[in-house]
Amino acid sequence: MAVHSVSDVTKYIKNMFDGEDVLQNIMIRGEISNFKRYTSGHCYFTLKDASASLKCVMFRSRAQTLRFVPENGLKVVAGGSLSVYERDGAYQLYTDSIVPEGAGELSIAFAQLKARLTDEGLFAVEHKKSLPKFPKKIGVITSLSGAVLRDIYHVAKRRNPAVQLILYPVQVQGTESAVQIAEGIRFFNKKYPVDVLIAGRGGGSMEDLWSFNEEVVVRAIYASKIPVVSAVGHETDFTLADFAADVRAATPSQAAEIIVPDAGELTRYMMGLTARLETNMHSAMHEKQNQLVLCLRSTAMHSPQRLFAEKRQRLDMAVERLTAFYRREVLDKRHVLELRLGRLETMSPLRVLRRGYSIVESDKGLVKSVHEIREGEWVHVRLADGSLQAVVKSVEEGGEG
Amino acid sequence: MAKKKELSFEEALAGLEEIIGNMENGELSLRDLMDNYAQGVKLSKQCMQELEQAEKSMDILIKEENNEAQELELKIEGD
Repeated sequence: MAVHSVSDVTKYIKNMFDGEDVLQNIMIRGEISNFKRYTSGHCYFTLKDASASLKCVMFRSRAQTLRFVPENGLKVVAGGSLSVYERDGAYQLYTDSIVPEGAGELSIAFAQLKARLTDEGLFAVEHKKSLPKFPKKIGVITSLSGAVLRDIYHVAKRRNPAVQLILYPVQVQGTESAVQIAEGIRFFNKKYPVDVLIAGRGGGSMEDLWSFNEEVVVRAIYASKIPVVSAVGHETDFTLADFAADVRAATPSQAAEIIVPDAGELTRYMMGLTARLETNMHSAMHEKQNQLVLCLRSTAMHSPQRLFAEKRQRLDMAVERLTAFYRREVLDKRHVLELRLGRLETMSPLRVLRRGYSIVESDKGLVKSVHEIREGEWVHVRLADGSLQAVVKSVEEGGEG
Repeated sequence: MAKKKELSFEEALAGLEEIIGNMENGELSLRDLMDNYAQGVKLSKQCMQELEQAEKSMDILIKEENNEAQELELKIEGD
């Protein structure tokens, strides 16, 4: 007989578990005991019934998605896969979901459908449309009888009497209900354009609200081109329709409040905007005007001559100085010059000539010495009133000079 | 000139808000200022008109039979 190691046997058993499809995706009903949440966030507990118990682990990533706190003694349906933890040689449920059993099968269906449609992206935030600011036509998909329509009507009309409601009456519970609701959403999208849709009903048990968890309704809401506001049950009720809707209202009244803006408020807002437009225009024009006035008041525009005044003044002063200079320098000098000219006149050879002297010039110029001239040369003798051409008869040195 | 599409209330309102923002933030030229203002006045009038003109219209009850939709007057109990 072959001998095996503990590891080998355990691995073999683990493989048997893992190869068994039924164990890989399983829902197990039982009562929670020994529930412990570690600081790591992982949860460990035991599921038991009258005659057996099963170890379970729920890792943090999954435990975070729990909408309730599991407690010992709570009857639940846990979903996950069964496998073997080799170190302890123990098989356990790797838990993905825990649904309180009080709500029964619907809760499981809810959880499963929610997970599936979430994966598909039907609840994605990016897909959500924004609501119109000022809807005029509101399509309502709910029961003709019942408080829901009345609540929506009263709140909507109080806020804006001019808003128009178009009711597509449906059963809000029962087997036909989901298909009718989905058909209503399609009807408005295809045949009767409105600004926004409300789909809803009043409070009730999970069973009562179930139509709003059905896939046809969720898909119709997702496919709607018209924004959808869901208003199902009370504050605490969440349906898949709520997750798919563009906006979830806690109650039908709140849906109307979200959708219909208070007409008075809107009018005041518009008047405020219009006033701001006027004020802005006024102040902007005022500013431009000021700029213009400042420009016009500037010296250049207002009295351009002033721009030249300074220059003119400088010019004046320059002229003045020049005149003074002229007087001082030129006239004085002229005076001096005249005086000198007078003196010069007294030294003029003509005056000398008039006194009887004469000037002798040869062709070499003024004759100042007997050595500059010889006998027989022509000389030019200038007298006060004329000149003579003379021939030198003789040259004698000496004389009285 | 391209025919202008009728603006919805939301578009007109958004346009008006943008214009007011422009006037408040930007240094608009006189011409832009005038253009913006003229456009703003137009949009503001349109919005106000829509608010005022929204007539009371009858609420409708849809009755669909054999794929034929009928419009009936919707009466609310106790009203």
